[in-house]
Parts: sequence; structure tokens; C-alpha cells
Amino acid sequence: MSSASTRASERESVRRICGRLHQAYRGLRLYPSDHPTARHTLTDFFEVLTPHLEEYGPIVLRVTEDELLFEDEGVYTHAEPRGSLAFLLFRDGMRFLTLHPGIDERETEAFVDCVAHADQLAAIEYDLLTALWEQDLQHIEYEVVDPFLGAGGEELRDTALNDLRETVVRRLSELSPGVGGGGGSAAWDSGGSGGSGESDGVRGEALTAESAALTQADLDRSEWAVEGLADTLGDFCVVLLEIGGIPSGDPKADATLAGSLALVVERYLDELNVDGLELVVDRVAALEAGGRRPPEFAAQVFGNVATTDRLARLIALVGQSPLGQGDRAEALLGKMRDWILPTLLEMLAESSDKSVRKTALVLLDSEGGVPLVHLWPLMEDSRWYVVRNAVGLATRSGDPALPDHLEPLLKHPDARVRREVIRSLDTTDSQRSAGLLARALADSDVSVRVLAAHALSRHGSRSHVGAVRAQIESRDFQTRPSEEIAAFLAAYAVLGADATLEMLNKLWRRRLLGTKPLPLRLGAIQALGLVGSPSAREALEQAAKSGEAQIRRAAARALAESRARTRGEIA
Amino acid sequence: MSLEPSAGSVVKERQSLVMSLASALRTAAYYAAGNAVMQETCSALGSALGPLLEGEGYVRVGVHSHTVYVNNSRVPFTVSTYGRFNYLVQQFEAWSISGLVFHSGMTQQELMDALGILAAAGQVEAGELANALRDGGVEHVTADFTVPGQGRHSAVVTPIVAYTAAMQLGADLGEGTGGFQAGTIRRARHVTQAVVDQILRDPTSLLALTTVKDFDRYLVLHSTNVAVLATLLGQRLGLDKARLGELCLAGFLHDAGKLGVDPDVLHKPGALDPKEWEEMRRHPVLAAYTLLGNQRLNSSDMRTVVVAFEHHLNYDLSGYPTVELKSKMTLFGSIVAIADCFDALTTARVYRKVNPTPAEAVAHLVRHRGTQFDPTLVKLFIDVMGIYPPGTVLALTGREAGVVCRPPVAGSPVDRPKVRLVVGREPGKVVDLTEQVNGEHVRNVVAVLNPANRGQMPAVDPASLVTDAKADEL
Repeated sequence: MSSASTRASERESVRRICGRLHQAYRGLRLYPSDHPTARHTLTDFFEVLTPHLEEYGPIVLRVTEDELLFEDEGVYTHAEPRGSLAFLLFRDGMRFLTLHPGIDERETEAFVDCVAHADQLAAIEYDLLTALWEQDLQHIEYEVVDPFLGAGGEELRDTALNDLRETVVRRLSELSPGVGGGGGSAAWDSGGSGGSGESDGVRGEALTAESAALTQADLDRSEWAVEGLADTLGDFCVVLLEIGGIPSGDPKADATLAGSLALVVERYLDELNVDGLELVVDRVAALEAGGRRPPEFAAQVFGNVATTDRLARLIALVGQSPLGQGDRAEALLGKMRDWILPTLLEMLAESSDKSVRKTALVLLDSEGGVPLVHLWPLMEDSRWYVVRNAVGLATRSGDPALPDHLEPLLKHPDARVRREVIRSLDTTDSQRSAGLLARALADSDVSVRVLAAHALSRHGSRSHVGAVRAQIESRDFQTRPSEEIAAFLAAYAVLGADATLEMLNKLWRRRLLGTKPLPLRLGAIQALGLVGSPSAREALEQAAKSGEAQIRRAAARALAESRARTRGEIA
Repeated sequence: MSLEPSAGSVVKERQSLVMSLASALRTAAYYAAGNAVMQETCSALGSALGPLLEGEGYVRVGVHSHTVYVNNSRVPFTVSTYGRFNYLVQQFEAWSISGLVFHSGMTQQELMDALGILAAAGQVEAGELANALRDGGVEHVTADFTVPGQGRHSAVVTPIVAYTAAMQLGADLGEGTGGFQAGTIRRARHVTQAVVDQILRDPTSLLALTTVKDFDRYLVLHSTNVAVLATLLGQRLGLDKARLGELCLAGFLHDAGKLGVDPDVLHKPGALDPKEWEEMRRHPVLAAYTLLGNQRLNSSDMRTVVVAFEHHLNYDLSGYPTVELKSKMTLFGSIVAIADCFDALTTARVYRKVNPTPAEAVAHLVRHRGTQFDPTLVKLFIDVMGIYPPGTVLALTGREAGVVCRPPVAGSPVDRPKVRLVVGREPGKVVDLTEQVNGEHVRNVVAVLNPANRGQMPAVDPASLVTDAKADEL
């Protein structure tokens, strides 16, 4: 083959290599490096490159703004400058690129990866040249025009050089050349031995070569020290936490520090590094508690990075306990609780994993409660369990405004929510709550009504007797479940006291016609026991003499309990 | 159980191979081919090469950026293997080759012949060695001289270009107030990478420049000097190129917090009073805040913050700022603390009655090892600098005196550097104190001098500090 045709075929081969390089570059721009498409394009590039290098030797490409040139002929161009390899390389200062024989797949991938992500590097004060420099690729060489190293700034560099030279000449002139060697002149004062002690304690005995001899222990220590370099993040974290202990008094500095610590926490959460998280959590808590960092500092550190996904992964550790990891993770979450309330609430609402919601609820429900302001929005959620959990959490707040927020929920379509509302109202001892409980006596759901009756008996007053009585006198009351009948009659007795005796007596007594159902009669006897007055006990003593065994037994039990209650033996 | 060798054992095998090659080359320089010692060494090298030759068909021992590779895998050196690795790197440079390739089918005799040819080669041009091997009938050992890193398009960055670029950066940073402008760290990365490149090419190439002390521009030169000294120490420890880049950048930016210190305190010509000290002691934390402004987590940026915070902490964790959590200094912090102290001590101050010489500064490090400084790093620092570091003025036997311009080469006695004569019969001549005639050293150190109480004198030859235009004129 003629030399001209050889060169033409070499050039064609280089053109093909550049085409594959472009495909690989696009592949890594669009897909993660382990994606089959990315792998395929990288392999293609390598497989076309290596035979060429073996046959023709190194490829030297000149890089211009819009072309790659091989022996002054264009072998690569791309219509869209932003997507052009040539532009990317040129923009960061590369002017020649040489690919040498011996290159391996790791090197080609590293090179393509650097180029593919060059656009993202500027944001972190990196660039393509730095990325390639750090990779230190043996078989890829490049020439750059680097403005930072004086390219185009020769005048500045020459000035600096002149400065240096003048300094050297001036200082060397102080040596007074020509003065006879070895002492005698003031300019040649011996400073090596003698130890005058006048130079800030620096002078002392002269060193010997032996004092610098490296022992095996020194060699071992230095090798361990190099191996120990791996934990950069740990070292960085400790330094941030040390800085945290030095009050800054500057909100901007606080924000900077919190931002950096947040990045560390983010990484630790991603790695599920419980040791690291414990260190940060304990220190940040101590700094805030000790007043060395402002309130909300910890929330700034943890608030944004403790996302639902990350916390869900940490929660997943709870319960699995290799080497106590689970217990430690749980304790960690407990300590972080106040700083990550919004995220925990979001998990409570959004997580599809019931166990995660359960853990979030336990954390939220722990000491301190959740400020109501976070809960109001959840009470309007369309999902019953979100509302129920929000009501449950709100209950612990003890906020006097709570009943007002609960009132609309008495009409919630889901009985589970309404039950939770009643439980919540049961914990707040106020007229407002009692009024709402009285309204709930008419709820459509039996379990709600039962809970309301019990709660009202604890928090209601005489003013609520009418509402209870209205239910007792309703046409269907006698047919209601025995539990409900008992609850209503008990509430009636507790709230109405002696005023209820007449009605209760009527209810339990046998009649010739129209004797009430047994559950109603037993409920009335039980209610008499709750009245606790002498008249009520008298009524019970009569009932205890009844010819009906069930009535007799119930009355005897109610009487005994009433007496015990009077003596203070039972509540 | 896996039968695959672990990554650690592969690295150890390759380290052992490189050590065997270096030993064999050294032995070949002293012994003839038939000698028993030579045969034994050659046999050891053959055994080290064997498994790889069998598995891959060839073994390429290559050098790139002062780093040794075996079949494209980097073989890290350690403090204990530094000497032999360094010897190999220097030999490859002398032979102008980037690699030696051993091919399968090589006989013991052929290996012995190859070693003999290599040992006898001395300083040769690229290609000569390959011809010598071929002419010597060696077919299965070839020299690779299509050198990555020495191709025709290599950018020309000399030690002086790298140093002056760092100086300019230091000066520009000094004019800033507090934080950095966008692009500053990127520029600092480029400049410090150039410094690392120079140190990898010739570990002591920048050392003489660090002695050009000028108190008026102390802060500007100090950052650069600390970066250079720290990188040298890191290189001696066996850190790879990327880690050296991080160390150099961290060294360069260690005093970034001084930009936030009250200028009256910072530039006060005399000793500081307690209140002023308090102000000055803020600078490590101020530096950390300045460097944290970028809010990102890459290894380089994290180390830079750590070093800025730690550089006035002592090995025993005394010093400042006061720490509550740290259990030990980081390696980079310990390195920069040594470099920082050495450079500060060897910069003359007008208010000091006596400015220490570089030799006294080294003695100071030794005196405070174990409390203020990491004792092993101090020893390594001396291993790099010698006990008479560059810039030390020495009175020599024969009524001569001069300035130490280069530390002893690796493996030489630490008390026998190279000296540029200033006083005596041959001013300007550079002499090596290891030079011997009839088993006696030609020159010995009589005393360390401190002329004009300047402590350290410039070790650089002013003639080397000329601009291109000036050089043309000359």
C-alpha cells in the first residue's frame, strides 16, 4: 500500500475513533456509567481505539473551538457547539490531545467520564483539566493553554521573576562576598552552636545525622498514617463540631457552619453511619443546650437533609439489631425528633409502610408533643388515618384551643376519626369539651356514642343530663347494645345523682305489663350504684331482695361497690 | 473461600517486583554477569517476574509522573521502599525511557545480559537504550521510549513558572477581603497542581525558591513555601498525585483566615500583646469559615478546611484553637504544621535579636517532636531537607563558605548537602559534600553561620531567575 493511502486509511480510522468517542461521551452524559447503553458505547470506543494504536502508534489530535484535527485535517466536528467534544476540550484550555498505545479500558472510561461531566464541574470550582490531572492517566497526554500559569500573562510573570531576582541579589549582597572564610567577621557570625537563647528559644544544640534515623516503628507509623487518610469525612466532621464549640456571634457564620454540617449529616444518613450520626447529634444538642450555638441551629443542620426517604432507611434499622445498631438508631431518632418534626409528620402522612408510620407516630408522640401549628393541616387531610394520627398527637399538646379544632371533626365521615376525637376530648377537662361530648351522644356510630357517654360522665355536669336523658328516652334506646345502655345509664346517674333515682328505679323494677329488657334493668341497677347516695343504696337494698336471681346478684354487687366507693376503697 | 489473590496481596507482589528490579539494577552496576551475587539477584528478579509473565505474557514496569506502574497498575511506594523506587525513577529518567518491558520466553541469561546493558548505560538519549539491548542480543527485554508525559506537545511549565504563578495567586488573594471570588479555588487548584508536577518531576526543584525570603512579602511567599514544603514531605511519605494535589492546596490556603484578622495586628512589626494575640489566634477558625463558604463535600475541600483549622494545633493537641473532641491531629494537619513552623522560623524578623538558621529551625522541630510535632514526620522532614536545609550558610574546611542549595540526594548522609560556594577560591561553584578523594571527604562542615543575622539566605542562583527576554539578551 502506498504511503498516501496508508495515511488516508489512518486518518479514516482516527475519524471513526473520534465518532465512537463522541458516542461514548454522549452515553455517559445521558446514562449512569453502569447503564448497558453507556457500557456499550465505552466498549465500542475502546475496541476501535486499541487496534489503531497498535497499528499506527499514538494519535495526536489538535483541538480547536469546533473541530478535532489530525495532521491538520478535520476528523471530528459537531453541529451543536454545546454538545461538541472539541468545544468542551477547547473551552477548558486543551489544545492538543495525545492517546498513546498501552491505554487500558479504565483509562478510556475515566477520560470519557471526565469529559462527559465537565459541565457540572464548574459549580464545584473544578474543571476538566483538574479532573484529568487528578486521574493521572498514563496514556493520555494533553497540552493546555493555562491562563493561571502565566499563559498570556508573560509580563506579569516577568515582573514577579524580576522581583524574585532582585530580592535574591539584595539578600546575597548582605553576605559581603570576599570576606575571608570561616569567622572573624560580624557578617559571618557562627550560629550553629553555642545556644545564646536569644532567638525566641529556637537556638540549641546542633543536630546529628543519628537524630534523624528512621526506625522500623517510624516506618510502620508513617504507613498507617497514610492508610488512615481514607476517613476524610470523619476528620472534617470533627473539625466542624470543634468549630461549633467556638461561639461565632455571627448569624452568617452560624448558617455557614450549619450548612456544612448538614452536608455531613446527609452523607452519614445515606451511608447509615450510626457512629457518625451519634457524634453529630450529641454534640449539636450539647452546643445548643449550652448556648454556644443559637436555638434552631440543630434544626438547620438536620431539618433539610433528614428527608423522608433517608429517615425511612434509618427507621428500617430499628428492629434489626446487628451489634445493637437497631437500638442505637432508635435512640438517635428520639434525640433528633425535635429537629425533624416536619419530616416525621410527612412520613406519618405519606409513608406507605405501616411500620414506618408507626415508628414515626411513636417518635412524635413521645415527651414534648408536637406543636399544634404543624398538625392543623393534617387534620384536613383526606385520609382518615392521617387525621386520626394528627388528632392523637394534638391531644398531648394540652392546648386550650384544641376543642375548637376538633369540633368539625365530629362530623368526619370515618368513625375511627370521630372515636379519636372523643378520646382527645376526654383528656381535656373543659366545658367546651363536655359540650362537644354531649353532642357526640347522638353520633350515628355506637362505639362513638359509648365513648362519648363514658367521657361525658367524667367531664360533664348537671347541664348535660338533659342530653343523656334524651337518648335514654329515645324510642330505640332499649334495643341498643347492652354496653351502650350501661354507658348511658351510668352517665345519667353520675351527672344527675339523686334526681335520676326515680327513673332508674322505674327501669329495673318488674312490671306486670311491659317489663323492660334485662340489659336495661341491669344497667339501671349498676347506675344506681354510681349515684352513691343513701337513697340510691336503699333502692339497691330493695333490688337485692328481688326474686329474680340476676337482679339480686347485680344489686348486691352494685351495693358492695357503692359502699366501697364511699369508704374510698375504689375510685 | 476465594482463590483469587486479594488486592492487597497483588499490590505487595508488585511492590516486591519493583524492589527486585531496583536491587538487580544496583547490583548489576557493581558485579559482573557471572558473579554469584549477581546470579542470586537475577534469579530473585526472575522469580518476581514469573507469575505475571505466565499470566499476562509480558511485564511492563513503567514510570509516569514519578510514579511506578506494573502493567498499567500504579504501584504505591511507602516510606520504607522510597529509596529503591526513587532510584528506579531516576534511572528511567537517565535512560530517557518510560518503561521496561519483559516478555515471556525470556531466559535467565538474557535477563542477566539485559541488566548488564542497563547498568552500563549511564545517561543516554531516548532510543539509544533500545538499540543497545537489541545490539546486545536481548530480544525479550525492550525499552519503551514512546513516552507519555514526554511527548512533543507537553506544556512547558518550569519550576519558576509554577512558583511565580503561586506567588501571584498569593498576592491576589492577599488583596481580597475575607471570602474568595468565584474561580479563585479553581485557579488555586491549577497553580498547586503545577507545583505538584514540578515536585514529582524533581522533588527538590522548588526547594531553593522557598529560601527567597522577603519579610515585606511574607504572607505572599509563606503560602507558597508552605505548600511546597508540605508537598515535599507528602511525596516522601508516598502519597499519590491526587492526594499531593490536595495537600499542596491545603498548604497554600492554610493561612486564608489571616485575611480576616485586623490588619494592624497582622502587619505589626513587633511582638504582639495578649489582646493582639487573641485576635491573631482567630485565624484558623476564620480560615475554616472562609473555606466552608463553598458548601460542598469533596475530599480536597474538606482537607483544606481541616488543615486550616489544625495548623496551629500541636501534636499533643495543645496549641490553638482549643479542641474538645479531637483525639489526634490529621496527617495533613501535622505535615502543614511542620512546614508552617519551619518557614516562619526561617523568615528573618526585624524584632528578633537573633534569627535562627535553617539548621536551628530543624533542631527546633526535633526538640519539640512528640509534643508540638509528629516525631516521625520530623524525621522524614530531615530526610528530605537534610540537617543543613537549603539556605543554610556553612563554613567549610579549606577556608571556604557557601549556601546550601540542594539537600542531600535520597539515600545520602543527611549532613552532606550540595553547597554553592560564596567565599573561597571558586565562588559560584556548586560542590557536593559527599564528594570523596581516596576515601576522604573533600570538604567538611566546620560551622553553621548566621551572617548579618538573617538566619536563612537565598539558595537559588540569581542567574536562574531570568525572563525569557533577558535570557535572549544574554
